[in-house]
Amino acid sequence: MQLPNSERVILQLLVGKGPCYGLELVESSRGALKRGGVYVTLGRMEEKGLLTSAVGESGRRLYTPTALGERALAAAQVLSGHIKLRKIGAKA
Amino acid sequence: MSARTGFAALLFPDGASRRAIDETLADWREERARAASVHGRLRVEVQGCLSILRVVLGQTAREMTAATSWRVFGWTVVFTVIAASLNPFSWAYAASVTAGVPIGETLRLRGLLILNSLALAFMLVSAAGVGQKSRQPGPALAGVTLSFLFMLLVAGWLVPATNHLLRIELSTLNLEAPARAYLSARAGAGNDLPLHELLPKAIVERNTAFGAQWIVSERLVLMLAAPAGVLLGMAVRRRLDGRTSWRIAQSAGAAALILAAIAGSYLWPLLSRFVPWTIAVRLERLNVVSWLGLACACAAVFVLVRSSNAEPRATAPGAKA
Repeated sequence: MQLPNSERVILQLLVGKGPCYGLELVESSRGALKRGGVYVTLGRMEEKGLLTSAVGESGRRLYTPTALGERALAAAQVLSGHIKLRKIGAKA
Repeated sequence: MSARTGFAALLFPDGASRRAIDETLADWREERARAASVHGRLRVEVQGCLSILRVVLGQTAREMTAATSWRVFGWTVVFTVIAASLNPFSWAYAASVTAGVPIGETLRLRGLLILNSLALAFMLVSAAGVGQKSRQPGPALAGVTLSFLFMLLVAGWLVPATNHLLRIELSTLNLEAPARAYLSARAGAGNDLPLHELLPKAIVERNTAFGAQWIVSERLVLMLAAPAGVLLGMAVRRRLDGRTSWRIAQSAGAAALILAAIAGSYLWPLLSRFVPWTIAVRLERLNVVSWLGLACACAAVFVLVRSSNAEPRATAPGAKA
């Protein structure tokens, strides 16, 4: 499964830190995610079933990765590991 | 409904973009509540504005690449040309000056008059929302952007060019003093100048009634009135959709724009009594009446979005879509 970079960053943060608000994801991403734009990506990922959200009291949504999201992240990491190994092999 | 929520509902009618703007606004509120110092509050306000701008630009880019936006814009242009062709004032004017004139020149003159009426026709047609369907949220930001760009082209370059050609055309019909009239027509007036030639004149001009500044101001109002008309039409249709037939709601959008322009023209004589005459004269040189019409249209949008429901009403029994 191919994951765009922004979706991969979001899943990595959510799996590593647990449920987060959108703004927390932006602050933790060190510039990889942008304010405002992150919510379009989060909405798209929720449509794909990679994460779920629940509306809090302040009207902000708390995002949690689904089992499918965690599997997709693991698969993407394995795939990128294989690609790195191939590149190292090709150089050697 | 607050004005901010109302505008968000008007400009972001689809679920995904609405959710993005709602969450960005919620973040802004949260950060504003947490900010302790003046410096922190200032940073939050700047970041909040930039976040909203990013959402708006992203949504505009998505809408501009959507086929629906171009379908609606295409129908708007088609109906604009039809409306400009049917403009009764153009027909009456053409009939009065082309009596006994060869058919070729008559047709050329009528063609130029059609092009000359495009600006006004476009504003009314885009306010009516031609091409948009009942209970289907239209592309708001793309509509606003495309109408501004279209009007920039029409008011900035097309209408001045047709003004100039019309002047030359009419001078050749002036049988009493053709040479003098032709030469004065070729010299060109402010209304004939394209925007890139008019702007430098307006910058250096001082104290001229109906001069370059007045014309620039008039064209700027036209360029801004088209997107304001799009929003006004959307707000009116949103309010009326489900309460009356879609065609009536569309016509009401165009009628609201005309009413706003009329209200502006009545407002200035009332307001000018309270303005010192030196300032009043300066404001009139900057075409204050047209700006007041635009302000009335914006005020009407503000009132409508504040008093509107978040979602359009269900279609009323018997109302036609």
